[in-house]
Amino acid sequence: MRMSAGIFVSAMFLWLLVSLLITGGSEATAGPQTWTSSRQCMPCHEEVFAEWQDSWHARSWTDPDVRAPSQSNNFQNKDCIDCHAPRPVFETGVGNRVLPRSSRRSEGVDCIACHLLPNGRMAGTIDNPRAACKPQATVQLQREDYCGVCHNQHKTVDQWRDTAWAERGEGCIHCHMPFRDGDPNRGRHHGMPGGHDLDLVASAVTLTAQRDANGVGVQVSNVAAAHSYPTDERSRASDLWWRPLAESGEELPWRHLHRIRDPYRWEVDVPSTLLMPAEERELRIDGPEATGSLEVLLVYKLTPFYRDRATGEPYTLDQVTDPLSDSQEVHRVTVDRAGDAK
Amino acid sequence: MSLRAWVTGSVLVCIGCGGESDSKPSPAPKLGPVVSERLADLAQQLGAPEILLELDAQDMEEVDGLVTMLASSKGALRAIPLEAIRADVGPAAIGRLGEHVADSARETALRLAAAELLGALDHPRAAEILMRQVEQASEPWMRSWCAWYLGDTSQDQVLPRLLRRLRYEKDPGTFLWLGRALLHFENYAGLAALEDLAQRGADETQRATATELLQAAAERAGVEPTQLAGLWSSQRADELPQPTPSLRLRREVWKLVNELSEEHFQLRGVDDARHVLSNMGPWVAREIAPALGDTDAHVRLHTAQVLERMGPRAVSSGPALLAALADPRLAPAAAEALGRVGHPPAVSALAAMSAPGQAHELRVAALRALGRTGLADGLPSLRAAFQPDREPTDLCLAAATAMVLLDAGDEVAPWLGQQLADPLADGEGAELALETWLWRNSQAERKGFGAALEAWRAAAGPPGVIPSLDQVRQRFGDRSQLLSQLLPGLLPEILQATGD
Repeated sequence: MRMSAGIFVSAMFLWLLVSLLITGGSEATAGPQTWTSSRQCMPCHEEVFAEWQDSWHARSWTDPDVRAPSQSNNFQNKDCIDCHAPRPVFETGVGNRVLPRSSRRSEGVDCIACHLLPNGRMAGTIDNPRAACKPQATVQLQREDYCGVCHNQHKTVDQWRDTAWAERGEGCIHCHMPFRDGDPNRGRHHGMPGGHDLDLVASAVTLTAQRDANGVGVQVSNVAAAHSYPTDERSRASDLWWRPLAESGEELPWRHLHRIRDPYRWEVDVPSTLLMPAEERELRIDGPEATGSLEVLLVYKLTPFYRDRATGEPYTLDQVTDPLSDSQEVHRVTVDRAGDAK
Repeated sequence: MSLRAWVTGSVLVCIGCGGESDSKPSPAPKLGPVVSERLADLAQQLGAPEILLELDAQDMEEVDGLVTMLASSKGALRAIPLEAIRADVGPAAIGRLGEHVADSARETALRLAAAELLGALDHPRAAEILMRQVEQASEPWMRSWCAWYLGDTSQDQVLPRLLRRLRYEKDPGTFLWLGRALLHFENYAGLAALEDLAQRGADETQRATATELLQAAAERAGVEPTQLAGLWSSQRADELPQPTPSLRLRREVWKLVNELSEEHFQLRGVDDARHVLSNMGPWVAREIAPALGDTDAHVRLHTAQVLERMGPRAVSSGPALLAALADPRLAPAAAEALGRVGHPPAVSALAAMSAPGQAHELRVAALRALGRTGLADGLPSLRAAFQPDREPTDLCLAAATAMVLLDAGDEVAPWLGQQLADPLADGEGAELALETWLWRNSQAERKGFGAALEAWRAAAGPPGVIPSLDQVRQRFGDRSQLLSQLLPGLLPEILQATGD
């Protein structure tokens, strides 16, 4: 038994040696000498490249919202660079804090940042040292700690760890990197839908409302996000608005009911109101104006503060009369005078 | 050579050949546990914290009486309780005074009197209580007064926390007293806030106070108030009055450097540490430069970033940054920092780092840094790197942007214009470089550039409006077209020479 094990180990060792020799010879000229741009990936990975290019990972450097004066101010706030143009994650270490890079910043969170291994090969799902980029099967690429190097800066992965999704082993890629057309044989989609995908956002929360003896009760629930809603704290916000429905059909101004958001660190007097996984929050609309029919609106914002889209003038929540001019509708319910929500 | 050794060697060679690092091997600097050693050394020098005596009932009554007396005294009488707290009770009063300060149910006058007495004690524990109020008190007046009292003590270890508070403070009145406290500790990071208050303060008192503080600081420095900010952000920052940092302050500085380490995952703490350290005086550049040799790669890289953000004020760190170019992981950040601090001997080293054969990341950083030095010696290397047919686009953009900063933008402006029209190119980078080129030449009153800059800016869209992605693309297209119309007038010689 010991002899055969020894033969097996020797055979494996010889195979490794031969593999290394082959690796050192044939494909040294097949791939680029140096990885300098994700465009180098395009010739072989056209579909993946197109998906990535249309994703917000690819726009993490160019997104006008990120470059706005109130945000990174064209990245003059250099603290933003660490996550928006990170050095390769496998270089800084899975689970470690990311570090900023100097080159190809306009490519944002790109192929190289996610896939380049310290040995010069590309992390993937298969091993093929003969291919141009020498893919190397790397299971860490699918792990939550991997996404966490940036996204756990907002505690997203920590929030997920306490949920049923984590118990079932359904991690970040389950929702944010689904199989193409639902077919495991087609590989995972590199578009990475998230807060910019309104359908995904709408599937995460529900909004209900009903009349009772005292007025109207409104419930907003995080039913399908394995992390808080919203999760990209600080910059994201979700607001509940309501307005009476005039019998004349006249559109009355919206009134602010509730804000779901984690504040920036300098907003010391603003409480965090993130809606945690599986949390249902009950809100009230009472008073004389709540006796008639009314509608309730849940909106999602990619930037936290409202402003006039045409002039850029900032609004306080009290000044907003048309929230949809600077946000996206997630859900809307109406409550009529007689009773139940529609 | 044994087979095992040969295989191990082969594996290491393969690993070494890969990735972005295609630079030639260079001797890496010796690394060590710099941060932990400094912290241990400073802790040893400082010794165990002082144990404060407990107050008995009679002493406590005396402290309360002094608080009441100070709250109700005016003029010369105020000196009596302030002297008595030092001479008769001493640091033992700190706990009781802290209770007064923190008790929001107490009369404002009593709380402020207790805070003033804490300031008069000029003790580290008293400073800690006052600093906590500056950081956490919900009442702006309490934050303001506690900042004021801190600014009369010798407790310079609060300086980093004052700087962090300056970052997050929103109350203009508190800015004023934070700025005063910072100036007291010979730190000029609050100048911008003071200048703003002097110009646009809420009322005449606020404007006059800010002006007086600026004048007093300028008199101490022997310069005009308008020269202070320029000096502070220049290589001559050492000419401003320099503090003698206490051991406690040095320990706080090294604690901040430790915040940069890999063991701290959250960027919030790292961001604060970077911000605070980079807003400290030139002595901090000398103090923390050895951290470029720490074993923790995150500490090394972020220390380089801090020096970069400190800018010319950190010029003393030039030699240490130059040596750091030999550390492959640190080299790009060190190169960027060298560009910002403006260490003239760095130009030849940066030129070497920008040459083909070096790691791409390092080349880009070195090119960018060559532009930031403002030294024309870097131009040959930039021209050599600007090879759009052969070199990656981001490298050419780094070279082109640097050439703009060295007043050789005419050579790259047409290419930058083409970048604007290319949907796969870095439009934002090209746009920024072109605006800088137009602005610099307009400042130099070159013919046609003033009007060109005006037209360029008119195509920017309304200020304050965050555009959509489509609007950004449209803007790039419009500006590219505009530039193609403007260039023949701006650069007739170059366009004739290239036959464009």
